[in-house]
Amino acid sequence: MKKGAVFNPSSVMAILLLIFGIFYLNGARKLSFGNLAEPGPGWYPIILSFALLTMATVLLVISMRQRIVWGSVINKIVVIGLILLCTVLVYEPLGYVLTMFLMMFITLRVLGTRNWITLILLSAILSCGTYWLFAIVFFVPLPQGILPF
Amino acid sequence: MHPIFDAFSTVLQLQNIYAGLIGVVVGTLTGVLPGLGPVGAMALLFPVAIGMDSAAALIMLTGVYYGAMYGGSTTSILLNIPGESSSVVTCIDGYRMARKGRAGAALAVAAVGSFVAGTLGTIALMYLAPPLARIAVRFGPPEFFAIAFFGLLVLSTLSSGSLLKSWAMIAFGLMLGTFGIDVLSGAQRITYGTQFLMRGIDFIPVIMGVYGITEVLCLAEELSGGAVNVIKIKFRELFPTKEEWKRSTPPILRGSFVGFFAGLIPGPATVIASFAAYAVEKRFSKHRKELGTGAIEGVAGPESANNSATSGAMVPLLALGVPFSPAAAMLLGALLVHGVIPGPMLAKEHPQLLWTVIASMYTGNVLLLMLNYPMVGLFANVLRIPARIIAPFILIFCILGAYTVNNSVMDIQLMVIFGLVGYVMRKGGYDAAPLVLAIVLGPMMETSLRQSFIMSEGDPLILITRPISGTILGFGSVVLLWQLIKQFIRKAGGPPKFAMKDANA
Repeated sequence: MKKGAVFNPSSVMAILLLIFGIFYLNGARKLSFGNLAEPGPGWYPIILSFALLTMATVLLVISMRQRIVWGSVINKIVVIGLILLCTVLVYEPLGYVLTMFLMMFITLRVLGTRNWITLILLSAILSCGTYWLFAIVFFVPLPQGILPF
Repeated sequence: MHPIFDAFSTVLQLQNIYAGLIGVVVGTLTGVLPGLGPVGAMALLFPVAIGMDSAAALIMLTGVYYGAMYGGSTTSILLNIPGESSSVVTCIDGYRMARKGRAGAALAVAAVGSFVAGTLGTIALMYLAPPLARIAVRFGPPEFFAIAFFGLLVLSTLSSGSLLKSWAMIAFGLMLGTFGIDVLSGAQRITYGTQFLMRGIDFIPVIMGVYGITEVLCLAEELSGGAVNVIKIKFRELFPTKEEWKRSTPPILRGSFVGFFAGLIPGPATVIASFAAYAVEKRFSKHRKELGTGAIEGVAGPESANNSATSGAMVPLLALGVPFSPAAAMLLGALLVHGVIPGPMLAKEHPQLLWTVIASMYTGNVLLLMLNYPMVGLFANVLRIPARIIAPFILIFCILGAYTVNNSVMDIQLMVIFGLVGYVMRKGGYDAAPLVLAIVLGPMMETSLRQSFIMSEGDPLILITRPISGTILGFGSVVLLWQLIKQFIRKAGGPPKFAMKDANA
């Protein structure tokens, strides 16, 4: 088994929890704490943030000695993460159907589908099919974007 | 002749059966598709229900309710994505069963378990509604806090990772539930003046992220690794074996019992029911050591419990006229529109209507089984679809689920963030279930705790001096102490538990 790096997944998660805890405590400290007879809006959040910060610190110390490694294909994970972030950015401007078509197409390709007809057909069927089910059958208002229909 | 037979003769007319089928199909679909939920589906069908007669309307709407509970288990088992919050715990063993080629068995047991539990729950409702309603109204803020706290405590002991990691996830989830407007004081909390945080954090985008998006990232990793586990399904293996049916029977019965009483609790009763049933299996099942690795008990118990809880939820509704959940409120609306006023006088003044309601529930349950059991084979064959095609489909599914919550792209942003965080969590050995349950139960827990202290003028002993909350918290403390002792013994006797859970394993 490989020796774990300092920034192994467990320690990274502990760091994320620490960052979140600090962000949260900074927001909560402005709230009124109150007292036990009349707990204010800040009472519960402040107690929780100290609890999380303590636990995250302990977890960070423990995890830096653990033997956990990232997978070897982290680049593919990053690519899919970027696809998702771009999807969010263009979802409303381009509209649901076009965005989902592009997202499906690129993701299928990244994951190994090579046949162009399969890529186009699957992307079109799923994007239009789900639009029909949700927008037409269930009346969920999905963004129209640049398409005229 | 018992009035229930008259009620059945009314309910089993052709137009009522059609109405029931519509309800069950829509309910199952909304359970499978994330974001919509039984309440949304009931709202969609409400205008249709108004135009029907009372029996047809009730069969249709209860069909939606039951169908959604079952439908949520389908994606939990096949894709490790809970369609409903009450199906989160089914992911633990259901998905592992699917990976072993037993998806059909898991789906079949979920269908039959749901039917049996719904039936037993309906029978219990017939006879126990008035006395149970009297107990339900004795629940106040200390009891609600105790239930939520107990649920989280028990859940932390069920997780596969370390206890400390589970508690960190619970704290994280409780904190996520506090963003937005404070219910008691109206103050804006941890919003930093942004609209994004002022809305609060809904649990659906979080679930879609930590389960759905994370699952896609993990699938992408497996595909890149080359060795993808193609699940071969033979027809004769689609349904449970005799041994699996035998093993499922006790958890179905236990789940029915636990779920019905959990349904009496206001709030997310079906969620509590499913986790409580899993905890019961962990404690009492003969095969408890297999739980977490793909044990049929891990599907049978929780899925029975969440259906039985829908019957339990009818107790306060019918006996007191008080709905304890949004779905029960929709049913109340349907009853009122058709001139049925639930409450203590219903059984005395309109007994036939009461029996019609009960017969409608039973019929909806039967239709659910008739529709979904034959479809098990079809659903299980979803797993034949190559992972490289399933993965993008899951992405669309999750994006839709997150967007339909509030028709807002901010929920999709939230889902993506939690998807990436969820990936790190999974690699680092942090379980997502405590996080999700904490977000669902957190608001109720905080509100109840603060109300309890206001009631007692700051005396924390109110939580243990009241008999119901004291008993629940006492029991929870015993569970926690036992887990800590077990961890201590394990550490003293061998390598620490968390170091053994190498994320590469």
